[in-house]
Amino acid sequence: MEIQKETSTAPLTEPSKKNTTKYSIIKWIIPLLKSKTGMLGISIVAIVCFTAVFAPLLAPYKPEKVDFSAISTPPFWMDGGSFNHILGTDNLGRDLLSRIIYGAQISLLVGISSVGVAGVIGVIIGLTSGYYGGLVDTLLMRFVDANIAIPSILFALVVLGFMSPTIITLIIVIGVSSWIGYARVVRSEVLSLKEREYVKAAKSIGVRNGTIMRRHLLPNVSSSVIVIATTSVATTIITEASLSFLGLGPQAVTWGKVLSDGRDYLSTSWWIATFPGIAITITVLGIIFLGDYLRDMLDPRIQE
Amino acid sequence: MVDNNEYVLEIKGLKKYYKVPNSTTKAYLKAVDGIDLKVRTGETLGIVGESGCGKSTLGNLIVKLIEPTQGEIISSGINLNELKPKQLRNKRREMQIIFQDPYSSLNPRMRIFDIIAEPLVTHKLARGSALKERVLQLMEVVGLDADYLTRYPHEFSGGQRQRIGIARALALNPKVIVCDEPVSALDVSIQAQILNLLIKLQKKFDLTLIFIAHGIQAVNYISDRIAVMYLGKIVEIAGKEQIMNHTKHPYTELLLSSVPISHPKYRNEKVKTVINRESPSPVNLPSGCRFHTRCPYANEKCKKEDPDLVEMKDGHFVACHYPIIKENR
Repeated sequence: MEIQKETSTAPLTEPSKKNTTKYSIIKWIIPLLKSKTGMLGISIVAIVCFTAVFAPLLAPYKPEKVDFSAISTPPFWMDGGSFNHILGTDNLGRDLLSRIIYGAQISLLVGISSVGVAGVIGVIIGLTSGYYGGLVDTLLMRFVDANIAIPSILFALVVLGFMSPTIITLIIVIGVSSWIGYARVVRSEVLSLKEREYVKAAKSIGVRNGTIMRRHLLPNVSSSVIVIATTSVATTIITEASLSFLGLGPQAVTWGKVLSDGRDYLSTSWWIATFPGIAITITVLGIIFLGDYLRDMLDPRIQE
Repeated sequence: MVDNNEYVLEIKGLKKYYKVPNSTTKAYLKAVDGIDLKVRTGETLGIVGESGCGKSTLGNLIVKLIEPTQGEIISSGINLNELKPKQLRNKRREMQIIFQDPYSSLNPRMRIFDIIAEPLVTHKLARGSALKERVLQLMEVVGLDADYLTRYPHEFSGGQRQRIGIARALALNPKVIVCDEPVSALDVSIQAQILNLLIKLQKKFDLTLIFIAHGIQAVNYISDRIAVMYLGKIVEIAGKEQIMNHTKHPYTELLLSSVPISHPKYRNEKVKTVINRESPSPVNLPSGCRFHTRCPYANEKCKKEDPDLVEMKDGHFVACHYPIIKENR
């Protein structure tokens, strides 16, 4: 017994260090290969990102190039379509495929960054409000209620009207006007989580409030935050589109802009609005799959 | 006779009232309603009482998880109310708590190593290999395998989880550990293991245990002294033998008689004090003695005057106008 004990515990300290680092890399890759939705999600997101980064190399035309000889050309498989414009052209004869490829740049950037901005603001406010409770909670939640009363488009109109509509301001404006969902969900989860005994145990140990929020509460609300974040990427892309439609978007090609341009021609040239719509749908689906996979990976209970 | 080290913890007039929400009148739930208690160094003090009598609130008050409405807690001569936040954080090292529900007492997202190391990291007591060594040592003390270090709480059974909770509480070398019903969520077979572990640890580390439970058997098994709580107050406190064999308070008698007797031969000897009445609400406390609504011996005096906790015999305190006196049982 004695000998066995020594041999089994003594080498544990050294190799286990190596094991854990090696283990953690494998631990992330193997379930990814196993999970179908995870693979699908990461593939879609990777392809979209690749397209966005290498847009100048991939796109057959410049997105702004107007060709009056080819106005409203349908996609190649329809009558009048040609392989010069695979997905057809819009009302000004601009190549749709090129516009969608270039549009991925801004749409992804704006979609993901403003979700990030909104998430950070919302999570911080939700955590603080739920954890401290009392007066802090009352004040923050009334602030949230007041924010709900302001239409986000109106807010964006006012802010963007004063500032020049660059991509950065757009990201900030969309982020600042959509953090409320996170704040409310995180707050309500924290209200129940903070009564858990592990939070009490941390308090009785003397762990500081900030550390309790970061170490004990944040990881346990992360799954809801990921779900809201991935689903709201779509809304954000659409919001960006409506701002572009109002002339407050950045002066660049985005999926939303292409989509709203095509809305007027839906009855005659359906493809103008349809293809950017499909691009948005596929991207959002990919992000949602990836988010689901991440959520499961971050939860030790679901890992095998 | 009384030297400074005799009492590790002194509680004076401790009260915790909760405001009843949505009440038109100012109603308060009196969870803990004036408790005086002295805990001797190195003893195990059991606290029993039925659900809702405020015993868990008392436990949370002792480790300063909640602020008392009134009253003082003096730990090793230091009044906890007078401490600044920083001093209180240091003082917390002396008092730890073990919780009832082993499923919610461990963060599901943390590894066992991080859970047990958290107190040490928080107070910067160890780091690196020394930290790991200390965690492994703690795990060995509570009977956990060293292989479990990198596992997550959901991979463990209730008993093992409770051991992890105990290891976390021991990490800071506390003087006092409040055990808030540590076995009532466990299987009976595991209960004994955890109780024995607590007894072993108490001897090994000279701990003072405050053991809270609703079942008198577990308390009887582990305690040196037992305090019986009823609706936020201590009604009887004495050595284990005194409580069990020379019961003075009718409520203690009721508690003891409500324990099912396994042997049929002794069943008839059960004291006939079981009264089928619910415990009154701690919001509307009965006048006079708070137990008079259920007490078989109550009379007019009990309805009017609230009895004080007085010493009957050396160290046997009872709050009753007519304590039970039995020659032989």
